[in-house]
Amino acid sequence: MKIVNDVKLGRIKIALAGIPNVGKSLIFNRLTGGRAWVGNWPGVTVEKKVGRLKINNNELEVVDLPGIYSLTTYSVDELIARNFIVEERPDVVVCILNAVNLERSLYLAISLLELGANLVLDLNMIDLAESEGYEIDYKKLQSILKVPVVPTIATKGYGIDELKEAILSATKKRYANVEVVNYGIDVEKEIKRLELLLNELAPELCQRYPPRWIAIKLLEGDEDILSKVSELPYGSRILREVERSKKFLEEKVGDLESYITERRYRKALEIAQQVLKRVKELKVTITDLLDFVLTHRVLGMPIALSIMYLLFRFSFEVSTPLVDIIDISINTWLHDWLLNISGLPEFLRSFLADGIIRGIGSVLVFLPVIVFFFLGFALLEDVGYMARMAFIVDKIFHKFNLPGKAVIPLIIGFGCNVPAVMATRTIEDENERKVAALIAPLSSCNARLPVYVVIAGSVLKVYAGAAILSLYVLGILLALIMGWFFRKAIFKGPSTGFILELPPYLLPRFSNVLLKTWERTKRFLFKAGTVILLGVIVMWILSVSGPKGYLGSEALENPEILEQSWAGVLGHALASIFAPMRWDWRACAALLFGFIAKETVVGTMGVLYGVGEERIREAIMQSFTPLTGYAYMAFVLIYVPCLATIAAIRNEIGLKYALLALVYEIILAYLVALSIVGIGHLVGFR
Amino acid sequence: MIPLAFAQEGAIVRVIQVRAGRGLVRRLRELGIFENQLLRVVKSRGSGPTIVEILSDGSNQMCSMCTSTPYLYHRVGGRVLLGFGVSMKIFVEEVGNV
Repeated sequence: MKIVNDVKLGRIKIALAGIPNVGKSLIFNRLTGGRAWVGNWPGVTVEKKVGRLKINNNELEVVDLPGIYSLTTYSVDELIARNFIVEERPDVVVCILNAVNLERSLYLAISLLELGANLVLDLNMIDLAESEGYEIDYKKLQSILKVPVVPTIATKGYGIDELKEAILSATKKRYANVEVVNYGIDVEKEIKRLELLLNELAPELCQRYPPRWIAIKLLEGDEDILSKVSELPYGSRILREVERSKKFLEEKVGDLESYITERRYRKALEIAQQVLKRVKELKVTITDLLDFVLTHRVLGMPIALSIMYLLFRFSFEVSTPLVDIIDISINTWLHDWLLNISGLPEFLRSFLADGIIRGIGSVLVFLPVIVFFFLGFALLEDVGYMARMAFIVDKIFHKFNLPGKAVIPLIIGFGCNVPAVMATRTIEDENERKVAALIAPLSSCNARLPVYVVIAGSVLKVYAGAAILSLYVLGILLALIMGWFFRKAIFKGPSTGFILELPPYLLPRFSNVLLKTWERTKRFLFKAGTVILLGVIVMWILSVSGPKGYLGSEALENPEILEQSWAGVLGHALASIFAPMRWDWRACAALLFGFIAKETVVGTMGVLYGVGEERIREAIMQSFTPLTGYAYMAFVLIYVPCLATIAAIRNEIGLKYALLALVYEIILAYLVALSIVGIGHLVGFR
Repeated sequence: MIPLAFAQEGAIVRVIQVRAGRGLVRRLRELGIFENQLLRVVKSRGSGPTIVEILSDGSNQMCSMCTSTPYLYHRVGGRVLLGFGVSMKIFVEEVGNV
């Protein structure tokens, strides 16, 4: 029972690896019961998920590695996975294989074996392979690779218990097979020679990595390993020998790196062909049929637009009753109840009701819309449509020097900009990723919509719908233009090329969809719970106090007192900057609070005009013309999305770029609003 | 020999050469696109991206999936979307049509 003791001390670590779209998160949840905590990988801000797996009184720690195709140093994700396996030495690595995309999964499994991982293979999605007309002989796979293979259907929970058993028994017995690929007589001879040399000259390195793996990586020219070896005492001697081997081999097999990857890939292909049995001939697959229509030259774009339109309608229509319930229960009942509690001092009641509850309420009102938007989005993603969307827009994006993949953050951005910035992680090229993160906030999120609805509804009347739509289009256009500008001015260099794997169309796996929806919603809630709450507190303080000190909560009811507050003073100061647009000081003060979160703009206006949100339309009609109103909406669209988004940009690509985003958006917003007013005047609008 | 971007939709092509930098060549190899590999051009649109399907190697005589019909080409890998820039760097020859 030594194992149990080890586990109690938290020593047994399991790592989950797999290619993207293999259902890894779902397996993670099945194993850990969904209880996970999130941290960051050392040195990078990529999220690291850790959970606990309980098998018959044993507790194991499960780490979810990023979804990767191989263990090169091509992307941050790959380096993280590789370093984790090498540095942290997990006791078992579970590699999840995609039964529908076997050879690509096997490539990763083989790479892991070469790295010396104690491997357990989870052959997932076997039901889908069957529906595609394949059967996989997993016992044969097991005997070829010499590691345990467990077939599972994660969506249905099938095979999970067997997988747990296999993991537990792998903690007692190592399954290693570093010589899984044979690279041919000549190369093998050189690998052996280098192995011996490494054992002799670099014993410490050989304790951390399998010597065979180091030898192969050196021959492949892996930068990370080359630099590690060059730092060793006998480093230069080893590298000289590597060069000798390379020179000798390149005469025989050509470019060595290409040769090695190709041998590895061919091995994966060979194994796949040995274990795959075609049981049904399918001439035309459903994927063929759907791709014919959905990525059609002419039909593709209109279909994509209709689907996006439906996604919006769905999220707004379905959530309406919930929004009303939340609005009434928090913003009215809870607010009034708190305001009238006897026994508490007046300022405390006002702080709780007008500050905290109003703040939380203004955020929670959007929650249903956002949840349903993300639900619809995850559904589209899970059936495989979002990848096709990237295909449809790539031609347009390419003209702006942006990768088609950048469309995904822009669409997620319609829901909330925070997960949108995070979604740029799938873009491999650093420069392209930074540009995508910088332009993602220009996509008009749900929080901006209430501002449009109130202002457009008040001053643009029948044109309100068209005006709102035009703002969404304006956001995307500006994103493309700014993307092009950033690529030209800051992030120069050729486009590294756009490669995206297109998963086959699948029926949505509901547990998967719900999981993704929850993870994105959680980010929104986190934002609400921290930044926005802090923001409304600041706003409340600025409204009830001024240069003359505390003004009392009547300030929130009485516009004349409010004008004396800090909010009033700042609003007046801003109004002079925005003089060309003819926005009054209240509108300007509302913009100030919009910095914290756009949701607060309407609420602030309600407070500042002293009318409450119900009769705000009349007040707006008096202070805006259709032209200045439209310019105001454009400004709200473009200037800083919210503090949380800026924080997300800082986390993803650094403080420097977060500040850049802040500055460029304010300048752009001012210029666009100014041109709208200017051009509007020229063509005769007031 | 033509760039993949210029291949006809529906054509089956053999990869002759990939002329690109190390990183890109490696990425393509990992996805199964390298010399002699057969691909089916699922979608190709002018100066836009191309979708290809990775087929089994035509040279492999012992293909275990050929159970019933003498089926020359099999889909073995998934579909991959290649941007225009990438598909201009992959040189292919057309070997058939389906």
